[in-house]
Amino acid sequence: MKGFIDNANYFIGLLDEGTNLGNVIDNYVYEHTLTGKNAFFVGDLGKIKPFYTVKCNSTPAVLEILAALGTGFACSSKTEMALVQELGVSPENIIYINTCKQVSQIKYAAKVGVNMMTCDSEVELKKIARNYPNAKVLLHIATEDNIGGEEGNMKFGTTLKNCSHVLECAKELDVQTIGVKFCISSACKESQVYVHALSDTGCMFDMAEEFGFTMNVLDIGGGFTGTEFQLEEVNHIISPLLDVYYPEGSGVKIISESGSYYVSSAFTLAVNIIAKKVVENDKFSSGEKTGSDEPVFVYYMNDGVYGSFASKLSEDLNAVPEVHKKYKEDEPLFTSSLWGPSCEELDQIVENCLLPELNMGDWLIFDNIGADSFHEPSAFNDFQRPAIYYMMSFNDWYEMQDSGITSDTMMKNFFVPSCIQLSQGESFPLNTQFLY
Amino acid sequence: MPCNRLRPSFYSLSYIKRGRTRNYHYPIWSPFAYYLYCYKYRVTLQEKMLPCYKSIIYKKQEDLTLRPRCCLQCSESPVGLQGGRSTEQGDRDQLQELYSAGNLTVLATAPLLHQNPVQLDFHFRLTPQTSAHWHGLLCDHRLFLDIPRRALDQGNRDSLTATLEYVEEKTNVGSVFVNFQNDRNDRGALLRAFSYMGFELVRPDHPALPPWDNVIFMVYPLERDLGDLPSEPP
Repeated sequence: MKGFIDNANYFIGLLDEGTNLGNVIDNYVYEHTLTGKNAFFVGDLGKIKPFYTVKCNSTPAVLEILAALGTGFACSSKTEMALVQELGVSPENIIYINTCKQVSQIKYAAKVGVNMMTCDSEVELKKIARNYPNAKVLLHIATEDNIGGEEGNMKFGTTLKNCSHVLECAKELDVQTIGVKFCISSACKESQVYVHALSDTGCMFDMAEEFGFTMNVLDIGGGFTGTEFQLEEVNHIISPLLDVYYPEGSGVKIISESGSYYVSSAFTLAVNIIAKKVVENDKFSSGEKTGSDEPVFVYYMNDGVYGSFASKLSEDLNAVPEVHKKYKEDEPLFTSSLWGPSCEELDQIVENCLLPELNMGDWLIFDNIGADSFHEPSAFNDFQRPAIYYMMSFNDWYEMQDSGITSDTMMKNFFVPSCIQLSQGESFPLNTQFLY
Repeated sequence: MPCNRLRPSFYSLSYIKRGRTRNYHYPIWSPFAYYLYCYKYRVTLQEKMLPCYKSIIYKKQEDLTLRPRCCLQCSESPVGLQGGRSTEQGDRDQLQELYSAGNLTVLATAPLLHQNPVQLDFHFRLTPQTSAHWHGLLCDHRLFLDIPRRALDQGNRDSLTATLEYVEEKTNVGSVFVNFQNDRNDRGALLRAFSYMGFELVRPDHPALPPWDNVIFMVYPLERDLGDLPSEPP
């Protein structure tokens, strides 16, 4: 199938999701499937211009679709900036976000004209001033968002108290400070945090004026999970506040940085079971109260926390497996745990779940896995990247063409063969039903 | 908590090798005439799963000796004391100041001893009374840093930023590694935080990593262009 179009890097096919995987899968390959439904939520943030954090998922299809739809991009390294610029995105639509920027990256940003960057400390500001004095800085302020309330929980952003020092420093170094950023994570659900954050930004704008800066950008950060529902909630809280503090005519441009919102629900991962062990139930875990004699299964998959499940280690991921093969309703379920291929203690994906008995070579499906799972290959994590198969329904494709601002150069790598042609001689069924 | 049976079995044996060698930079009657060394090695037989549904047992030999040592001025918890390093020699090694600017001071073991790896310490003054210490081990073009206690505080973050800036501008180190114990209860927060700062998690069996027990490594790869390599520290 890859050889069908010679110079396309990938193609989009229309398929019924369930049956396709079974037919296409090669035994050693594990794959992601992009279903394309993320494309249509771009417009919902209204007057806020979204910037997509490339680090979250940098697969070419995602970047191309978002570029075609006119989102901006928030990059954190030279490679990401280069990737995005190759797609024809202009430098005004790119911001450079990295808490600890490398000097070579700042110089690169200066060279290519990416001049908006975030900064949250004096040390960082001095670095920027030394290497790119014409940069336009967004000052990142801390919020009350304190997940877990643990001591030493990493707080990014400068406190309001420290802000005046930072602004003074900026004044001395003659670096333009054009806006404020804050970031509230998705785990934090209280609207009070947003209220305080926005009022803090109001203070910041005033403070900056005293120092002679005119601020006209507000970055509300990210923290939107993949569900439309959560976006609605947040929108509900933020919109009235924004109308109060920064009404339409105030000249303030509002942007957001979101990553997982766009991609997390768009990817599905299929992994293969490579090994299986049976252990005695009473030795499985101390939480087990059943004294039954049922065996407990331990399965090893061909992808783990050092691969696509990296966010499991930082506890951001709740992986729920589904069994791919069809099994009967009354088939008995056993307590099972799922591990990655490295056999390390840490490489556990699911501690405890109920699954029917599976064998080596069976497939498990994980949904909503798009965020933070697709890392750029580097010298340090040279695991085999899973093969990606992209899929989109006809409806999505037409809608996308209507709403996007496509241009010929941007879509050069993105080719959708006529699906009717594709089906002839292929072994998988063609359905025109929607994917969801 | 998974019990041990769920992990593939492995057997390990460690042994210590002690002795002394002559340090020819000093005459024979000098107290510094001999190096006392104490190395600890470990041989492990470990089972590893392979994709073709088999598993193999392989033997690996590791040198456990190398760890950054705590500097004498430091109040950090002595993580470097495990691994059987020689304490007799430790008191005699002086750290010399290599660089000092702003709040950052960089110290290294005296080049006279020509050790490889070299201990490289970064002291960042937070307040007139306190400072954050990052103890590191420089080996080829890799720098391994131990994280200070309370690594996640604002002050320590600034110290890391300043350290990384020094490393990028003034050395030709290619990658900076941080490590922390993998059973820490703030492991998730540390992983998230370092990853937000640009570090990536390293596969545990990666050949560039030293064989330290039970630690997670994260690496900050320095994107270097060829042709602007600054000078190496002496």
